[in-house]
Amino acid sequence: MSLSTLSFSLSFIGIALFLSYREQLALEKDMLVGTVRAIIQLFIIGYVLQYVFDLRSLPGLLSILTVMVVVAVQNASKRATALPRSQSILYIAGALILSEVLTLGMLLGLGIVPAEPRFIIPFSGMIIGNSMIAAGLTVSRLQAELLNQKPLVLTALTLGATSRQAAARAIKAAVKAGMSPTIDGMKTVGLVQLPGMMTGQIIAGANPVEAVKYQLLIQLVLTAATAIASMAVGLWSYRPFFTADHQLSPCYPNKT
Amino acid sequence: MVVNIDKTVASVLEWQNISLTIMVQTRESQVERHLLHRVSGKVSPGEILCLLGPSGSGKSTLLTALNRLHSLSEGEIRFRGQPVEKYPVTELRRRVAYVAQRPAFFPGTVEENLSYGARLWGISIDPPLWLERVRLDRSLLSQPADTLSGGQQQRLSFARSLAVKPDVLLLDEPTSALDIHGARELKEIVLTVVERENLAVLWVTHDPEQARRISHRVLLLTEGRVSACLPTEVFFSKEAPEVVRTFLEIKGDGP
Repeated sequence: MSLSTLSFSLSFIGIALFLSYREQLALEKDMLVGTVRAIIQLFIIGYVLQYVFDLRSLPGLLSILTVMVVVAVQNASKRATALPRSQSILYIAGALILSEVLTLGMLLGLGIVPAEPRFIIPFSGMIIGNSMIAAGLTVSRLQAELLNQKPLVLTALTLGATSRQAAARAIKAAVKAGMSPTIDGMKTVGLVQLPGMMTGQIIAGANPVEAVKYQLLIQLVLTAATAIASMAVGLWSYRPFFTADHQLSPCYPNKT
Repeated sequence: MVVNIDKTVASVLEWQNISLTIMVQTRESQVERHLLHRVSGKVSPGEILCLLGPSGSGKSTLLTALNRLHSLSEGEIRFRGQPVEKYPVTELRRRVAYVAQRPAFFPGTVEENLSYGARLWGISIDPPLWLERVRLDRSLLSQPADTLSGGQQQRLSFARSLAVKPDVLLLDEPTSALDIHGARELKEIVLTVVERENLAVLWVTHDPEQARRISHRVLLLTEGRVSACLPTEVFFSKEAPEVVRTFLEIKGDGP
């Protein structure tokens, strides 16, 4: 696709701008900023990726993965409103790295994808991105459940439960919530929407069945990745809400 | 109805000079609030110690502190002569059981709720027998716990705490939400169990008349401090100190 053809696509934003202006939605500024940012960000990452692919350098690859994790942690930890910032960053970073290392490690170790930046970076992007959403959902749901279940958590503690046992129901609900988008997505994939990666491959000229194989692979990998991220976040991040003596800690979610 | 008590038995739970201070955030600054201030007392097997006092005087806080749901700012709690820190905190909570004023139930049946604590501790229980002990019909076992009436819930909560085989019961106004009939029935159930199991009981109540009928001793708390701790017959007699008589007069129930 030539740049001039691509520039025609700006007319799409023109439609949106026109509608926003006519309906007085006052979204024009946000739309323009968003458009400009999308153009700049995507071209930068395009050139960076091209550079790293050509360079085939490990430090280059690692720094891209690091940027992915840092941005994802930044984003997901915003959901952890009750946790001390340092703790939420620690647990969510741990969960994302664990999920990335395990799933990518298996992909490479079993020889499913070649150990080349061309494969590693897109796969990592999807793994880390989906883990980020799962981690964010898990931690916010965990806080909501702990708040809701406070009388039950206290009852369990008074009967001699450990904080882990007392929080078990909340953790379970949170992990389920973190994984549900991936599982729901798996059930409807291909029926409701064609996943972006598959669409991209088909447009770029790949055989649809070949594209399906990759999509299946990524779908299964993402299920594992979100499971790992949700469970890690669930099993780690309940801890700061309790003390070593199995009491509620000062940061335990409270109605404000 | 008062259970006879052997005065030679040593106390099972004893607390000395315990204080609990929390920081309260106000608009300008953080201020200290003393929920409990140098509170001492003890309770022996087979004994019922009633905690009386105006609302906000720290009665419930004392119970939860003895159950180690709070960390003390100062003072010491001893269980069977040992500082409570010597026991794993979960084990201590099993043996010094706290029954909350408003019972909360896990989603599930009466049976699942009844055996929750026992399952944690690997104690095998006979659920129908436990329902019988608190005068609930065994047909309730398979019902969702939240469909029970207020009085039934209170009794189920009591049975659930007893099922973990405690030595001390901390009861936080167990009859406050019940009607006269329900309150009397629960009181009888508790007294029967306490006598049979030789339990030590701390019973928070707002009703001096109830304290007079069930307790061996009464501890009066005012603003987190012990105002009096006396044998029941003295507490309700003319020899009681001024502070006690004033409290009882305000309650409209004095001698």
